[in-house]
Amino acid sequence: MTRQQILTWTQRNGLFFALVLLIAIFSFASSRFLTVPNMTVILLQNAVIGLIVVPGAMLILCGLVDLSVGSIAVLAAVVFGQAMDSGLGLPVSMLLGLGVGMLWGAFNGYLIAILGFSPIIITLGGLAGARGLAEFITQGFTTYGYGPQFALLGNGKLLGVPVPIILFLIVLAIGLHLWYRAPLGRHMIAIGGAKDTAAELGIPVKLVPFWLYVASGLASALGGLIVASQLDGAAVTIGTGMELEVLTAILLGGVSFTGGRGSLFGVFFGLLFVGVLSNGLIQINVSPYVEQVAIGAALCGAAALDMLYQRLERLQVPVEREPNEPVAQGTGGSQ
Amino acid sequence: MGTKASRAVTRRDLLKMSAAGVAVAGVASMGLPVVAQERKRIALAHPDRAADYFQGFMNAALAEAEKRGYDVLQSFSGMDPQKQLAEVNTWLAQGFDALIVLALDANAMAPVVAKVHEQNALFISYANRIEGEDGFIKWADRDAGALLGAYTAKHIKEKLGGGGAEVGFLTATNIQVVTDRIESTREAILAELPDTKFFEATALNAPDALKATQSLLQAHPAMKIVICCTDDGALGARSAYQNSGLGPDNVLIAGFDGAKQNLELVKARDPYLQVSMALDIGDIGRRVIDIPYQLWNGGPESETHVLQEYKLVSHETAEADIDTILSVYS
Repeated sequence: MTRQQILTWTQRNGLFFALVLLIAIFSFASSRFLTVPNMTVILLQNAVIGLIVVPGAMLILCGLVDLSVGSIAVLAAVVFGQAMDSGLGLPVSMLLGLGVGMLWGAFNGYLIAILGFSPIIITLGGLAGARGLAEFITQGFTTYGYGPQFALLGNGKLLGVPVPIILFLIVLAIGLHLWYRAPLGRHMIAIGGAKDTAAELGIPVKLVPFWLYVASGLASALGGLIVASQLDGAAVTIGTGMELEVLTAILLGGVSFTGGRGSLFGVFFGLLFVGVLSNGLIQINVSPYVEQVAIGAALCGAAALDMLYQRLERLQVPVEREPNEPVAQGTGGSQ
Repeated sequence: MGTKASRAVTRRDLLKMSAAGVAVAGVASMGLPVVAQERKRIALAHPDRAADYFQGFMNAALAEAEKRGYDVLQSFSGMDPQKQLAEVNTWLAQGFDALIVLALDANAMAPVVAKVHEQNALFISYANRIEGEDGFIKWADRDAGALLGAYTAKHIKEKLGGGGAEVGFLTATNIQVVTDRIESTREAILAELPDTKFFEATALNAPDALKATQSLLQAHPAMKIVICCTDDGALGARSAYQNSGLGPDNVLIAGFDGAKQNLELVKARDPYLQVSMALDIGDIGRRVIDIPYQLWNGGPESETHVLQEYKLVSHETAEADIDTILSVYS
């Protein structure tokens, strides 16, 4: 990487420096913050959101959105719990849970990508409908006690690394490859930036979003199963507010809500920023009465810092594109 | 001609049949409300349908309503104060004989009292008090906190060597019931052990409590006590301890509500989750229907202004007693 590329990267990722600043502040305030166990806990706490954020960011890059992720997560967990309770066994129950998520994602994708319905309305419907269905299925009674094998999904470790973190890193790696190295990355930017032109160029403007919704449903279902495993119970409170957490990470990471530009690295930093903030405020024992104010202030500060870097970018550094680089703007582009 | 004539007859017949249908429907619709008015309608605004105790509560309420011959309008608004208000206003337009409401925003609910009285209906507060109410069933949250605080102080003295213990609170600052529970617990612990250290985080449900407790344990690995504002939150705290690698030695996790899973864990003598401050869900469900009945029939104030006590369910509670509380969920 040349000096020019490093400078360009730093100017495009102001949020990274906001994150470093935040970590420095909490490290100074609490001796237990910057430790390997606590960093592992932060990653673990955000692994489920991270899984869902990757396809979620891709959808927003296409100019679409999925607000039903939290409700799909709880529906998958509840279906899994009921299946286990019915004695269907672990593999079948897990497949049912994941299948429900994929089906709901396909339903969203068909209505939005193929038939052209409004993504906000359809996924808002899913937000209410999937959670309502979960409540109807449980009739208020939580199932629990799924055994040690299922517990491995949420609480197990592989080579000392918690399984949810490994799953998240796999999904992130796939996402980074698709975003920056595969044609799909350019297709998503084209669909989000100028859909009609993309269609004229032969880009599958319906199929790409359709499969992204399926992926979003599957990731949400997997997230729901991980939380059910961690709690050893399929509570109907799973996934509450998840859609806002996902949106916060994506938008803070610099993906344009109207589509067409954004960086998955930025989204990763956005996810970590929110995670570090929540963990750090508890570490320094901030009163719950001021916690929300602190979160709001920090998010605004991070967004301002990111904007400042983007302006510096326009003022100072001429960007030289690599021949294979995706055409992204703002905080986007090859990292 | 023949065809035209037959068409005209057909139209006439159709008109006659339609008129007859409308008349029958009109008579029927005039008759139906008379029948419906015989059964009183009670609107029950308990918004937290996701709570683990909700079904037990509704089972008891519906059984009592059946016994008294009342119809029950159930809430679907969720935990959003604005939606709750909109739902109550819809019910007002629809008409009812009594409203029982767990007000998410007590101030916003105050003007509703006058509207309810304009309709000659009853306003009954549930869980918290609203000025102008005709009756109430209030939970003794502060008494429960005092009871749990004393129990926690005893645990600290007997098992953690006395003063200087670290206690985590999982709370939500925007719900009065919850802040009463936590603040009164803190006060009771401080009254006996003034040098206790408290650490707080916001968490109302199990997934949030799991994350909050994971963070608390990183900052305070010696913390052995977590008091949660709900039983659901206590389940999340329990998972965090279980998976933290820390042993269960002398850990005390407690919650409020008397939810099924928590009671079963306490009954099974779970080493982490040791206390549930249990409300008698069955009695509460029965009373929300009984209070309007008592008001309509001139019942005594002790039956219309009810302070519902909590029962501290711990490892010391007999299994048979826990089974009695659990029976509402069957």
